[in-house]
Amino acid sequence: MTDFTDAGEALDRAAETEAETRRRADWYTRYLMVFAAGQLVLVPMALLWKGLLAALVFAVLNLLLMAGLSVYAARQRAVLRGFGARHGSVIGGWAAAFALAIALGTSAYEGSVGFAAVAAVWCALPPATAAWGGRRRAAAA
Amino acid sequence: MTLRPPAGESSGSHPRHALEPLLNAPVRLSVAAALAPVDKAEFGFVRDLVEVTDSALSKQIAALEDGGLVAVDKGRVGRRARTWLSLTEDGRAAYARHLTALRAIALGPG
Repeated sequence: MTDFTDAGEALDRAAETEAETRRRADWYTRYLMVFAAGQLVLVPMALLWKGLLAALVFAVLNLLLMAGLSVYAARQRAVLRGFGARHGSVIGGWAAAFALAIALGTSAYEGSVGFAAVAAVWCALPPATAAWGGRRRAAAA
Repeated sequence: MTLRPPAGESSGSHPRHALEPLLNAPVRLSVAAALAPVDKAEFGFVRDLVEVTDSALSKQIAALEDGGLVAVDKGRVGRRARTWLSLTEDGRAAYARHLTALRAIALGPG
């Protein structure tokens, strides 16, 4: 065996290990997909269903979604590099989208089913696009 | 492995001189590769990925920690004790240097 084959094998092994780490540590994509799916239910509920019961059901569902995702995240065994910045930008984008959707949905488009549907997709976009980007990065690794 | 420079030979133009001696061991190189894409990973995650026993990994982690390449943080989540491993800045630089040297060796002279 020569230095060249030793070095080549070591490089291959390192590259395979890095790729496997990325694959096994890619739990955040699933997190984002669940978060995006939650928006498709919670946003129309917030915009169309009024009253005390609606507020209560919305609060409980939102709490369950956030608590479930937080427990899921806390149980993970690895955190990919740049997670903090990535999560911060997703949550920032979602918060801005949600605030705009609620502001318009409770004023200019109050009671509009069409607007509620568009707002749901709009609020799901930040986590969904981040999940899609994560899948692409994992596939390219 | 035949990559380690001969005793007494510590500098020169051959790319093997740029190799990080601590990463010449296959398990330690695998640990560095496992930690390179992450901010941190649990001890068990690395153990399962590298496919070694707890005691073998502990020994290699201790060597990497002594060399300043890996940081070890112990904490708890609920009642569960967790040991987190991460590459230090020096560890990332050493791993990158090591891979660069390996590439230069693999390409061969000329």
